[in-house]
Amino acid sequence: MKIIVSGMGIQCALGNSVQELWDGIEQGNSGIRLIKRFDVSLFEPKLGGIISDGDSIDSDEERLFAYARTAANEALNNAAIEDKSMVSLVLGTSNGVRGRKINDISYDLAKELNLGGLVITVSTACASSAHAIGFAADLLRRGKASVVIAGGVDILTVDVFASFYCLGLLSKLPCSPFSNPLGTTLGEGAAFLVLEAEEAAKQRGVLPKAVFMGYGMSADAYHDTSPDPAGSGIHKAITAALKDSNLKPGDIDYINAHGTGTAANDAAEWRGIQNALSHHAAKTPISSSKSFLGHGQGAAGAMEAITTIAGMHHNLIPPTLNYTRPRPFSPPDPVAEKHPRSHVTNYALCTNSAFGGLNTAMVFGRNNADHMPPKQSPRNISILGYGINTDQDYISNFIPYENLRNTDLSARLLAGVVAMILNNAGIPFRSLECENIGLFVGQDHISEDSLEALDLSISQRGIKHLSASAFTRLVVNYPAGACCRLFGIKGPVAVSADSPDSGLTTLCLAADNLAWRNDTDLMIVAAVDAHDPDTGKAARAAGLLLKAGEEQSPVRLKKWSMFPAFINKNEETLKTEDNSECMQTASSPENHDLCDIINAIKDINKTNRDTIRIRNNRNLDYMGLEIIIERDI
Amino acid sequence: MQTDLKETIEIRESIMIDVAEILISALHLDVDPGDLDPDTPLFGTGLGLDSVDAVVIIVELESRLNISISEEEGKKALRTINSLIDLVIIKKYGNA
Amino acid sequence: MPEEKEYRGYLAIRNSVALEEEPDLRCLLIKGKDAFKLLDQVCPCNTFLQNGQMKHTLLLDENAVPFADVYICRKWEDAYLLGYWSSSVDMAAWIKQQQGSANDYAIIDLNESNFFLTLNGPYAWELCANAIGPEILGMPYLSVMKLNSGMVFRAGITGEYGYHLMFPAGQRKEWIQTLLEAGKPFDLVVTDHSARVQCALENFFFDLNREGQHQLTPPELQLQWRLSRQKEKYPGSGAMQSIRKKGWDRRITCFITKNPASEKDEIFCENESVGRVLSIGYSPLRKEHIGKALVRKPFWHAGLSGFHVNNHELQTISAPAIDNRSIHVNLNIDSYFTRNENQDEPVR
Repeated sequence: MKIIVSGMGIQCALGNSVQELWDGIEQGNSGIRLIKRFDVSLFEPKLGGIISDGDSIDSDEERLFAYARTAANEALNNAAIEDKSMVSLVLGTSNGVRGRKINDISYDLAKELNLGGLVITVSTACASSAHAIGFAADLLRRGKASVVIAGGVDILTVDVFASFYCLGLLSKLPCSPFSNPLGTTLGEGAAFLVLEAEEAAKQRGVLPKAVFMGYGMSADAYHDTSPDPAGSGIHKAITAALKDSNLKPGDIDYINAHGTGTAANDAAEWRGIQNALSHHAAKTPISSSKSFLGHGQGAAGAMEAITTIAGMHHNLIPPTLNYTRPRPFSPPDPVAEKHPRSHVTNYALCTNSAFGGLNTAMVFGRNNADHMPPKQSPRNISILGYGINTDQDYISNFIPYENLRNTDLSARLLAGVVAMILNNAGIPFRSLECENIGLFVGQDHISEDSLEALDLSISQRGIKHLSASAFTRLVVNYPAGACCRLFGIKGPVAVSADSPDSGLTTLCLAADNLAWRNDTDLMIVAAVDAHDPDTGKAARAAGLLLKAGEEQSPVRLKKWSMFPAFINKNEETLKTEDNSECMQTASSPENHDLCDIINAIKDINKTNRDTIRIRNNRNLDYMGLEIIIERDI
Repeated sequence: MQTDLKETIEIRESIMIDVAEILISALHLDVDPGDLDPDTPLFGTGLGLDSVDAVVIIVELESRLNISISEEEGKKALRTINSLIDLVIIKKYGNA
Repeated sequence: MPEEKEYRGYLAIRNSVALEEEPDLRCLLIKGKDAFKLLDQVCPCNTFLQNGQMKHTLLLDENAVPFADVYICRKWEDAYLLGYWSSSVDMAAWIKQQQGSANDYAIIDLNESNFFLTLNGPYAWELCANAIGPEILGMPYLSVMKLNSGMVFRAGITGEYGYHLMFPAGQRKEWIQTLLEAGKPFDLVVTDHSARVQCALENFFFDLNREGQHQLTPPELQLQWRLSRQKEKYPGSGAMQSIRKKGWDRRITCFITKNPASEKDEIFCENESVGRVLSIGYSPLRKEHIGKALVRKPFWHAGLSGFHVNNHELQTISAPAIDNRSIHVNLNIDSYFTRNENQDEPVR
C-alpha cells in the first residue's frame, strides 16, 4: 500500500500554520527569542523557540491543548477531511502536562475533534512524534485504520528549561547545529500529519504532499542521557528505515537531522549517518530545523517532517541557521545559508534521537514518488515466555549494583521482569542475541520516586539547582532505555502510554511490528507501573517474550485487535467467529492488563481449551482491545 | 606535630567526610567511606562517574558547604576526591 | 637533567601526540561460552561490561598484592585481558588455576601474532581519526573497537588521549610508516617508555615496576577503586577482607620537591620520619620533581607542607599533578591546527 501525507498542520515558534512556518524559513527568520513566559532571570541564556501566542494562555494544560488543536485542525482541513468518524489519532508527547496522565491530551484532542478511530499515545521523549508517525503508517499498512492523524505536542516549561540548563546543554546563543557555539535551544509546539492510502485521498480530490516511504527505530543501549558516541543506534534506525522504504543509501538526497546542537548529539548522529549511508553521506546536504524552531521535544519529529516536506514541495531545502564554522569531522554540507537552497529532493531522511537512547528514522518521498513495498504476509507469533515482578530488588540478583546506581522504581521493576524473561529463555545479557531484540513498554507514569526527588531538590535548593540526575529519569521511556543499557537491547524499542490499557495496547503494537516487519524475530512486551493507587506502594511489571516465525510452540498469539470507540460501543460487532470463552481484564489492577494474558497462558495449559479470548472493558469510551491466544494442538 | 599541620590535616579529614557523604548519598555509590581513597579519579576510570554526576557534585558542594563554584573552577577540580577537597579548602579558607 | 630525547617525548605527550611501540603491553583473548565466567573468577572487580567497554582492574596474589595491571574488555562474547605483567608470569596458566567450574573457554595469546603501537597526547584522537578513520571519534574513554585487521583500545595512563593499536605482526613496518606520515602535521614524536612513565607518575597512575615492587596492597596504593566492594570471591579476596577489617596505616601520596631525590630516601616532618620515596621524576611542565611516597598516617594527606627529604623541602599534593590539556580539548571545537584560536569558547 502506498501511504501518503495528505495534510499537515503546525503551531511553532515561526507561526500558527505551515504557510507561516515556511514563510519564516524562506525569509531566514528565526523563531528563537527571549523567554517571557516564565522567570528566566536566574538563567543564562534566556532563549527559547517559544510560541508568543502561547504566553497569554493561563495554564500549561490549556496551552498544550491549544497547540495540539491548532495544528491538528489545520492538518485535517489541509487534507479536506470532513467525516472524522474514521480518523484515528497517534499522538507523541514527551511530558504532556505534569500531574496529569500522559494520554489525557490525546483523549481531550480526540474528543474535541470528534475523532472516531483509534487513539494511541506514544511517549519516547524527543522521538515521540516520530515514533507516532511510524506507528500511524503501520496501522494503515496493516488495515487497522483508514486515516490517521499523527504527530506530537510539547510545551516549554521552566522545569525542562532549568534541567537542560543544569545539564549544561543550552547554547549561549540561538543554537547552531554542527557549528559553534555548542549546545541546544529548547522549543515547543505541535505538529501533525494526516496519513492515508493514496487511493483514499484521491477519492476526495486531495493531492499528496509527500509519500511516506518507511521508518525505523532502535535503541543505543549506551547511557541514560548521552547518545552512543559511535552512533550505533541512529545507524541501526536509518538502516531499518531504508529497508522499510525499499531504498538504498544512495537514494537519499536530503537529510533533516535531529541536530540539537549539543556536542554529544551532533557528533554521534553524524557518525551514525555516515555509517548508515557510507560514502553517500558526505555528498548529501544535511540541515537541522532546530536552528529555526528550537528543540520541540516530543513534537520535534513531526515539526521537522513538516519543514522537510514543505521544502520538498517548493524544490528547496531548509538551511541550518546560525552556522559560524564547522566542528572538526562534521558534515561537509550543512546547508549553512541564510535562505533555503534550490534542490530537488526525491527522498528525504529525517532522524530523531531521545533521552534514554532511543532513535528513529523516517523517509519521505516526493509527492509523485513510486512506492512499491514488497508484498508481505504476516509471520506467526509464539509466546515463548512471560514473567511478573513485584520486587524492586529482584534485579540485584542478576546485575551488579554499579549498573543500577541511578535507576528508579519503575526501571528496577521493569529490569527485573526483562531479566527474568531473558534468563528463562537462556539468552545471555548483553550478548549478540540481545542486540537484535525489541522492547515495547506500556507505561502511564514517570516513576514517582524520581518525580519526588526532582520536586524535593527544587523546594530545597531552588529551580536553578534542581536535581539533574532526577530530571534525566523524568521521561516516560526512561525505564525502557535503562533496560536497553542493562541488557544490551538495541532492536526496535518504543513506549506507549495508553492508560488504562497500556499493556494490551503495547502488545498489539508489538505484535504488529513483529508480524509484519523484519527488524527482529524476538520482542519483549512489558508493562510497568510503580504506582499502586490502592496501597501507594510499588506495584509491578509484567512481560511477555514474543517470537516471530513458523516454529511450533505451546502458545501462540492468534489475534490481536484494537477497535475504535464507535465499534466498541456496539457490542454486536464484536461477536467473534469462535465461541472461545472471553476473559475481561477487570480482574487486574489498572495498568496490569498484561497479567491477564499471563493468567490466560497459565490457564490454557491447565484446562483443555484451544483458545482464550481476552478483552479490556475499562476503556470503552475510547478503544477496545481483544487478544486471542491459542494452544498448539 | 606543628599545630598548623595538625589543623590542615583535620580540615582535610573533615572535608573528606563531606565529599564521601555526597558521593554516597547523592550519587548513590555503594561504598563505605573507608573504600574511598582520596586520590581516586572521579570520571571515566576510578569511580566511573559521568557528566550528570559532575553536575550533581557541584550543586551538592555548593548547597551543603555554602560555597559558590564557577564553571571553570569546577572543571579543574573535578578530577579526584583530593582535587575537590583542594577546591573546598580554597573556597572556605582562602589559599591554604 | 633530563635527557633531551625524553624531554621531547614528554612534551609531545603533553601538548601534541607521541608514538611509542610497546613490546611490554600484553593481551590475552579469552573465547568461549565461559569466557566471562572465567574472567569473573580471576578479577576482583565487577566484570559485567557493556559491549565494547573496557575497565581498569588489577590481578592480585593471595596476599592481595597486585602482580598485573590490566584492563578487562568485552567485544560481544569475547573477553580480553590487556595490560602489564612481568614476563616471568605465565598468565594463561595462572588463569587456568582459578577456573573453578568454568571450563568452556580458550585462551589465546595475542602477542604471538600481533604488536602494539600506542599514541598518547591531547591530539591523539585527531591523528588516529586521520590515519585509521573517523569512527575512532566514536570511541569513548575505555572502549575497544575492532578494525578489519587489528584492534584499537582507547585507554592510556598519561591523563591525555591514549590509543593502543594492535595490528598483525606482519604489518608493523607499514603501520609505523602510516602513522609517522599522518603524524607529520601533528609534530608527532616517537618516544620510548620513559616519557610515558613520567606522565603516568604525574597523573598518579599505578606503575607495576616502581611502587608495584614493594608488596603494597590496593588500599596502600590508593587503588581500591579497581576492586568491587560487593564482590566476595576472587584471588586475594581473603587478604583484602582482613586488610579492610584491620585497617592500614600508610599509603602512597603524591609529592613535589624542587630538588632531586632518590627512591627509598626518607621523608621527615621536623625530626620524625613519616615515609619514604618510592618513585620520583622531573616534570618539565611543572619545572620541579614529582614523586610518589609511602607516607604513614596521619601525614598521608595531600596538601601538606613542612616535610623534607635530604634537607630539602617537600610538599604533598593532590593527584593529578597536571591540569591535562586533554581535559580542555573539545573534539567538537578544537583541532591541532586551530589550537591557538577559540580560547574563550565555552566548553560543553
